Amino acid sequence: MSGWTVSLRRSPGRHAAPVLFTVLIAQVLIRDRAWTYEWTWALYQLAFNTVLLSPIVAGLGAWEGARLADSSDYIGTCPRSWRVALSAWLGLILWTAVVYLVGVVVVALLVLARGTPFGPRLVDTLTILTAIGLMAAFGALGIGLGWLIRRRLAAAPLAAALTFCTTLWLYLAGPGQFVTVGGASGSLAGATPNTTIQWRQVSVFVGISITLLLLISRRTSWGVRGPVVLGLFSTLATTIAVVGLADAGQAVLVPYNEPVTCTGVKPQVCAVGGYARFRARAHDDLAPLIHALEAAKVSPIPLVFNQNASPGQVLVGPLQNRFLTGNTSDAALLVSAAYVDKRCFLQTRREDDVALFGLQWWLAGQVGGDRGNADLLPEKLTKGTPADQAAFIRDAVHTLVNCYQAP
Amino acid sequence: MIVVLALSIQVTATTLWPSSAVSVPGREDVQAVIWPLSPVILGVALPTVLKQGYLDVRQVAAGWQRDRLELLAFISLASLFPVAAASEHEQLVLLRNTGLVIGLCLLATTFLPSAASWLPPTLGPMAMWLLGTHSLSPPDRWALLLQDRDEIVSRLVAGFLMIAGGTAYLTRRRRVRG
Repeated sequence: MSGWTVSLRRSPGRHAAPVLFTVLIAQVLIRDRAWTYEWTWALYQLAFNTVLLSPIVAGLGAWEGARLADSSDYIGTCPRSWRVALSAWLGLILWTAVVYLVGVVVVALLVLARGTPFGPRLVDTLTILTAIGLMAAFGALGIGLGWLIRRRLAAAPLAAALTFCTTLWLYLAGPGQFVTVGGASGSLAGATPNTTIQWRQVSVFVGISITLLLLISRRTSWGVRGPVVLGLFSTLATTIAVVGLADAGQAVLVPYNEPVTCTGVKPQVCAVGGYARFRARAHDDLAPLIHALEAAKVSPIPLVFNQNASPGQVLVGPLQNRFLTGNTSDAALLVSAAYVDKRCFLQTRREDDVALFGLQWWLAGQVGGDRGNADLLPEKLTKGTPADQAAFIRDAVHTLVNCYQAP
Repeated sequence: MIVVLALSIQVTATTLWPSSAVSVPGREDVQAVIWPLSPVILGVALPTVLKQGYLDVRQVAAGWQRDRLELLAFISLASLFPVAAASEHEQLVLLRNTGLVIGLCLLATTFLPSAASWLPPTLGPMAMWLLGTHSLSPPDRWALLLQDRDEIVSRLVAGFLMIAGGTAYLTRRRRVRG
């Protein structure tokens, strides 16, 4: 049996694999599973689990590092002793990667079970790679910390806590791109992971891991000097990678014009892959509102609703995943969102609020939905004749289309 | 020494951490306070303090329980300092959470192998903060460390963990194989 196989068998990662898997699956199953309609969102959301997995991996690494430190005298007498630290790290990371890939399979099964057509993209592979890379880097940091502290039960929880705190700190205070490898609380239709950042993340994580392992390996060698040139080169390359990642900015997600398929007229409804089967139902929910606007002689009217559209495009309305998957009460909200540029919310003008709430109130009433509170709204709308109401709605649409006024 | 160091860090952290809620990463519109988790710093230090090597040999000697009782008494008393240093409205929560963390450490140290004994007091609070919080509703019932100061179940669990953990730590003998 080779040394590599032995370290794989004796790795704490092997014994901790059930714990890692439980944490991973618990997060997948406990939380909302709206991501099952989108491959990219599903795999990106899975990568968020690194927030909990990385501390465990770092703790296990610290345990392994302290164990190596205990045996450093013996290890130092062996030729090519650098392989000991490397195989300890590899053993841990291979088990972690196996657990994570099983998690990927579970997520894929959940997505397929939802009826979403098979369609992961190449960028999703990169998401998996960055998640494993982040855990590998924290594993190497853990081994380093364990090597320094030498007390297993002190090093392991300390490494875990430090990893968690560092992750949270970078998430909250930035630069977040050093730890954000996944996690999206909303749909990723129209957005995609930033591949520039992902490649740079991979290079940083690999660089940190190799540099730390070389440093530890140098300490394990007695007579033989460690690979100095390689160590210097690795440190330099990692520094360049860190600067490159810092320079890439914090936009881990970027806009993406995902291919859509469309159906129907007045309105035409266009949705991306996993939501395509809901287009007809969405059309049926939106059509009465569009007809009502037409009957009120409103102009312009959004005649297309596209999942890639942003609010305020007027002729093309946005679509939300919640609406497509069954939350039909959002129909009035989506039609009115077609008229309202997001920048309008930067300014608080009472006439904009009245126009928006008035339009939503009126639209909801056209399909017998819940109209909500009408306290803010004028009597011309709430108690007026249909002609008065139509006049109010035409004015409201005009106000909303022009609500953003550049300073 | 490790306990004193951990408690000093806890006092410093309590004063430096924001007392208001911060955004929970990856959770839309979810915010949660961090300060109730400060006893976890003690929880990070306790496994190495509580775990004693050659336990089967130690337990042959007279007074091993007294040694452990003294250690427990020291930890319990010392852990009150960060509680006393906290503001008035935080004290009850910190007292309860300190009991919870110490109890959890005692049980984990007694019943789990060394390699796993550090996981529950370290990982549990992380999961509570990351997954047990919500934007509009109060934290989940299982997120014990984040419960309101008047919440009765978390107090009972803290008391139970302290008593059960203390009893197990002081009485459970390691089986000698041979």
